Amino acid sequence: MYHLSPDEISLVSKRLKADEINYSHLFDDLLDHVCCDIEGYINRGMSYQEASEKTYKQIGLNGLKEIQEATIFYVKLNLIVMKKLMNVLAVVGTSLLVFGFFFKAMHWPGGSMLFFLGSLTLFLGFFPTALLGIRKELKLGFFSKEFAVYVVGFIALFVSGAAILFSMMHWPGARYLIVTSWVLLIVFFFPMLFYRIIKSGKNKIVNVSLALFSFAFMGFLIVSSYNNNTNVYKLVEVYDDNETIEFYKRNIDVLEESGLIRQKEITAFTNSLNAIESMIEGYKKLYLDDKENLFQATIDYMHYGKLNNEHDNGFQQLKGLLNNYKMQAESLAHKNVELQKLISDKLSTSDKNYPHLGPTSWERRFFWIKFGKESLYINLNKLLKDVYMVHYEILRVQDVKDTPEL
Amino acid sequence: MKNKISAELLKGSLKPIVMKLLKENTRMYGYEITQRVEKLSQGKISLTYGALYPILHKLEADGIVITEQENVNNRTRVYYQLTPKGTKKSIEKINELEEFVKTLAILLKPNPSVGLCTT
Repeated sequence: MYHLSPDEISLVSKRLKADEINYSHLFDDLLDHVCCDIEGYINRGMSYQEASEKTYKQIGLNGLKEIQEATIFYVKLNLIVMKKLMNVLAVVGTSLLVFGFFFKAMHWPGGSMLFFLGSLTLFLGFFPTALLGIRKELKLGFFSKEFAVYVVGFIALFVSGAAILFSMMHWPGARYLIVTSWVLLIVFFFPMLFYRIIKSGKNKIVNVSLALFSFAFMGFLIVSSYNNNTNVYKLVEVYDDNETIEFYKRNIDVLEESGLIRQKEITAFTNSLNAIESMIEGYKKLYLDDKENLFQATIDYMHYGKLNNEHDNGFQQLKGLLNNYKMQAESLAHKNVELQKLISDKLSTSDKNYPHLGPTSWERRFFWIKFGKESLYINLNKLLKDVYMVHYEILRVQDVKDTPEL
Repeated sequence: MKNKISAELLKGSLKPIVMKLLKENTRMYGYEITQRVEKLSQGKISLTYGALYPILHKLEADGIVITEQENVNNRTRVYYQLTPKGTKKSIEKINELEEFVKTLAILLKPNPSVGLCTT
């Protein structure tokens, strides 16, 4: 029984190295297999030269490389399919998001829908696939500690994504989602991540600094959202209201230009709207000029239940304008039940009784610090949006009513 | 000249064949598997490198086999061995293959008693 000498083996090994066989333990597999084949031929009477030529001939030109490629392809087939799927989902999701933003910026209809679909693709399609892909590529068990870090990170990402979506779509519960995502990140994800990094000992400095950086960034975002004016969620809120107002304004313009509305009856109504708008815009400007003072007034109001005279008069005036407008709106809405309901819903200036606050006046509701220092600004903007909504709905009905029947 | 079975026909059957060999032999290395297959099939089936190693590495990635490395004759030899999960899986796969072979036999056997058109 002939066995190849170390020199002969190193010749085979050289050839494998030249072909860059390095996947997993394939090098050892092939080295042993080629050596065994050569030994087999030598044992049947061939010389080393003949035996190795015959063996390589069987493998074929490029054979070794092709074997490696075939092996990698076969082992990673699922992963390759998954990666392709991930690419498609990422491209589709981000383009929907980009188009959504673009549509919103251009005030075209359907922007919110595109945005919603894009988020859905990313959060229900791309991220779960990526999670499973990571598990496969890193060969982690479903219940391993390493994988748990990724799962928690994914859940936190999912919840914060949902929070942004909820707040953009004005669905209830956004605030709870935001808080939940913060808790997940700060209490679970980051401690787990630090622990894993320190324990694994791979590229410690880079990993730890990256993780610390993202932790600090998260902290900055959270703190800033309470103390600063750059709260992402608030900006979304204001942006969305402004956009809605613009939307109603454009539609009202279209209605007025159509010439189907009897201008005489509408003029007084429109004047009331303009009076409300200029008052609110004035307040908004005042707010932007003198944020600190107005915020102090807010605090005072919350403490003493009364505004200082200047603001108090202002709000009484706004209330008067709104009541006047409301009366006009009600008379124009006639017996349209839906419109009456919308009016009493959106334009109510009466006091409300809240279980935790007791009787609360209309003015006071503007000062709820739901959105921090910007509360008054945002609440006024919301009122303007509601007024425009009512205005548009009423004009629309006028339009239909006055169309000559065919 | 021995008639060899074409690679196309063998395609899906190689994996269960390799699993069956591993089940019967505790642990084997690549060359040993090709030799055993060639011998048992009387030369009709020869496992090429390009067919064998993708299968073995896939089985390892799926947790069906584990490997052991040993130094033999101045080189490293990689032995493959079924895991407990792999043993279970191999029984399933072998049964499936047997069923397939039986069905093929039925299909290929001329059976004049079954008429195609009776009306």
